[in-house]
Amino acid sequence: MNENLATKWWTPVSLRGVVSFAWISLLITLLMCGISWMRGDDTGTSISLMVLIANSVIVWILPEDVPARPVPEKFGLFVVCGASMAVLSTNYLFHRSGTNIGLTLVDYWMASPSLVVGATAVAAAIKSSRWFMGKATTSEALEGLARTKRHTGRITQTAKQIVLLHLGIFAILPPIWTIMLSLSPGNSLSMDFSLSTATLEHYRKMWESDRFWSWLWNSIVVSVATTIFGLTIAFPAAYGFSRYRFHGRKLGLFMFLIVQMFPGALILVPYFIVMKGFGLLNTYVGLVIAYSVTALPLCVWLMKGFFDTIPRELEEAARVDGCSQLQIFTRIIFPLSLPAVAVTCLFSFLAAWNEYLLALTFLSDTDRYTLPVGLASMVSSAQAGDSYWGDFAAASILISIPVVLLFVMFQRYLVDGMVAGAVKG
Amino acid sequence: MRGKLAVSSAMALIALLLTSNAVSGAPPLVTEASIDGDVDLNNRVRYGFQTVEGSERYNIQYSDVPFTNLSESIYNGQSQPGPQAWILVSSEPEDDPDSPETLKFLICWWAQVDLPDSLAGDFQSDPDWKEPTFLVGMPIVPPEAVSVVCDLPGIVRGQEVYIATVSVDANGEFTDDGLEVLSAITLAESAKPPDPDMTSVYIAIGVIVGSLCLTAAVLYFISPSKRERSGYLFILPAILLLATLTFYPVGYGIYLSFTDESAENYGQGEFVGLDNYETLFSDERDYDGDGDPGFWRTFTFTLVWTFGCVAMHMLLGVMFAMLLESGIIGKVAWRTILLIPWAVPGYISVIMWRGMLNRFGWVNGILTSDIDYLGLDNWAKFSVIFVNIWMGFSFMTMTTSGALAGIPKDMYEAANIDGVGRYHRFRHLTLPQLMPALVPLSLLGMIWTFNLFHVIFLMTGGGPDRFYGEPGVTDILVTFVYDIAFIDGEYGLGAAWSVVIFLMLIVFSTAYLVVTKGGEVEG
Repeated sequence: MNENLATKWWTPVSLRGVVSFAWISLLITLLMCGISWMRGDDTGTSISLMVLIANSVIVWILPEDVPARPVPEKFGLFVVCGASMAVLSTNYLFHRSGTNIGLTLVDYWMASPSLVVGATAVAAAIKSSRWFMGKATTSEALEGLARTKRHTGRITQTAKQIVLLHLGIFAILPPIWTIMLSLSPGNSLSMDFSLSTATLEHYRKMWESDRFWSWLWNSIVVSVATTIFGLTIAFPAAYGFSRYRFHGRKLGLFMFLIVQMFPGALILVPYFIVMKGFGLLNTYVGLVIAYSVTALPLCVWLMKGFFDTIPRELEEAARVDGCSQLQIFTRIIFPLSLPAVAVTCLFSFLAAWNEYLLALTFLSDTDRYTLPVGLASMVSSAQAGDSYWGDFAAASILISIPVVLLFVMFQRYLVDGMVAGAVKG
Repeated sequence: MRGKLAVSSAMALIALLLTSNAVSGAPPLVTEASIDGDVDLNNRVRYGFQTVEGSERYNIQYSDVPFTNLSESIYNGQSQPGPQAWILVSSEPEDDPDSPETLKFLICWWAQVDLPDSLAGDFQSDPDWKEPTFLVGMPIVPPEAVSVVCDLPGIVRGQEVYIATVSVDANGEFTDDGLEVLSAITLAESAKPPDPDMTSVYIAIGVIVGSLCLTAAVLYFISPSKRERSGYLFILPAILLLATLTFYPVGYGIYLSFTDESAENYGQGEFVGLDNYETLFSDERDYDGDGDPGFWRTFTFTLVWTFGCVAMHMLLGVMFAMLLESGIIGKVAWRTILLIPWAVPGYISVIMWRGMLNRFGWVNGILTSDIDYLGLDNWAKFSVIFVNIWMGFSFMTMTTSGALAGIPKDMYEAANIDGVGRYHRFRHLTLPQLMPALVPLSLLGMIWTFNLFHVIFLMTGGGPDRFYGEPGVTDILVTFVYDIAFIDGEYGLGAAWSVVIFLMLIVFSTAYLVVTKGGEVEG
């Protein structure tokens, strides 16, 4: 009984490794096909297609999870596929180095997973043949089980780390590119980055540029004013909705919910006309009002949700002690709700800081541009020769660093706030 | 609509002769580029040239980079160099031109007189000038034509283009000799209205503020509860702001959609009933004559864009969140790295990707491929969706991993003991627990994505293939509305599109409200 169990539950640890990495390899081979096709490299495409087939067969043969039944008739297929994966990916590398473009890092990256999986499959052939045939002895199985127990965690962890590594590179590739672009000389897109020619000229140029500072100043003024003005309006409203049960309360709350779904495009033209009528185009005030209104519903809902968690009895007690309404507001509610206020501030600040469409529509004066409009204008100006990619990259890095730091520091609150906004409105 | 004359202040065009290296061979074509100030067609560059004896055909080549020989002329979106437009010289319109369907001329005229000094006239009503016969969209001028004037399509506003005419003889031979390249740029400003008469707006806002205050006061005084009535005072400022700056503009927009307001006649717009809505679906604005006015095309792509992006966001978000929450070493570090796409300001990300996906950019560099990602129809669609997936997946990962962390672990332990497989564990344990968070998030994601303006606007501007007044290949509804309203200056039509968008959004919003039970208003 014990013997049967041991052999039944045992899979050679190398096979487990192959299973974990075959999935990664499958995905990368898929990309390999795509990239070869994009390059117009027919030989490469057909080689990678063959690798893909071999890889799929391996994924199909090998059980995904324990317990696995040994399947004798599949052993041959397994070894053949593993061998062909190894041979084909070597072949791919030779083929690529033969083309006049030569090998790139991308080629090595694409060929290596199938090389590793294939080689492991072949190397494990002897051990796995006994497993496939169901001929493993009990002592082998017991020893293997112990090994498996030791190694499985490490293998899955490595596989997960490899997946995350790819994901991480995918996530930071554009910022990396921007950093490289900002450090390379010249303002063109076709940069030739190397450490020896790296230069800070773009940063220096932006730092000394009046335009950049005036855009930054505009953005700061608008964002801070939006935050303050929006909070002044939203705080009492949220308090009113949370604390008082008056007629029309539900209707009011519902209004605050549905305006978030109005398309910006729908109100853009009328907004523009109204702002123009009041002479608020190209002014801070116009943008501040518009942004505050846009952010108002989310702010109200966020803070109302928080006020609901502050017990009403606290206020009743204060009132009994002779506090006026204003004192209740300033001495009790405000200090208690500081976390919610902080998150709400962060939201309206970031919304105003990153807003593009309204700013683009309302501002036509270059000196009044906020950073989004200003930076975008650096690389989309009329004349083709007028694009300042290097300067844009440097400015983007300067702008992004504080924002990214804010996100990293407050990520928990931001995520919770967004989820609350999504789930509650 | 096309006949309207210019608000000339809205636009200007500079045309200058770049190179003139007429050396040998055929006499150079006399060429001139100009602009005609038609507001709704303001991306048009008008172009005229004298014909040459013995030509069988004229090829007009244009490019967004300067070129000195014909093989260098490629316009945005064309992967193969070659003529971008042909004019056939023939007395027999039955001649079979090569690939006429690629031809995208809109209007063209010929005459037996010399080119006029200014091309900005109205050739349509000039008796000297005649419209050519067309063969499958290809203009054919008779051999006796002396000069030809045509409008070049697809010139993006503010984009400098370089144009040359080449005459092709009976043997199909053409030559680089005497190639004259003109550069032209439309400097059309966005069509924004002149100072309007604001009285009605003041009155409307006054009425709204007044009536709301009055309502609040009435409610305040008739309120049965002395305690609860002060709530009105607290919410009044917010309601006033919302009413004047959200609900009023929405109502005003709906009103605009029934008028023919435009940048030219702002303030004098007349009530035209459902005309704008008819225009929307009719082929009245089908300028390139392919029988597709663009609404359904844009609508389809908007759906593809919305569902494609949100589906991928959810898929990647759930996958990576499960990975993050599965006992990974260095979870905090990975979380921080995965946060970056969400944290970097959206407009910066979009422009970064635009630079990377540029034909001469980094992506082609490291892949050693040569693909114009933003210039080819399908690649451009793929690219904008891809970039939005990059920008959105990290938010979904963060939120989902928050939701996952809240699932009690003992359920998994029980499932493990029972030997439940990985798939069933996900399908019957994880997914049901995640659903309450995922469903509203995905619906909200759809509303956001549907309304997302800056990704497409900054990536492709709606292009490639933006022909006057028609949506480009990657235009979604909201980006095209911006073009109609602020580039073409057609407020009424733009408002009609907006209302249609709004109606579509109601579908998503209703679903969302039902799912969240009216946003838990009771709470």
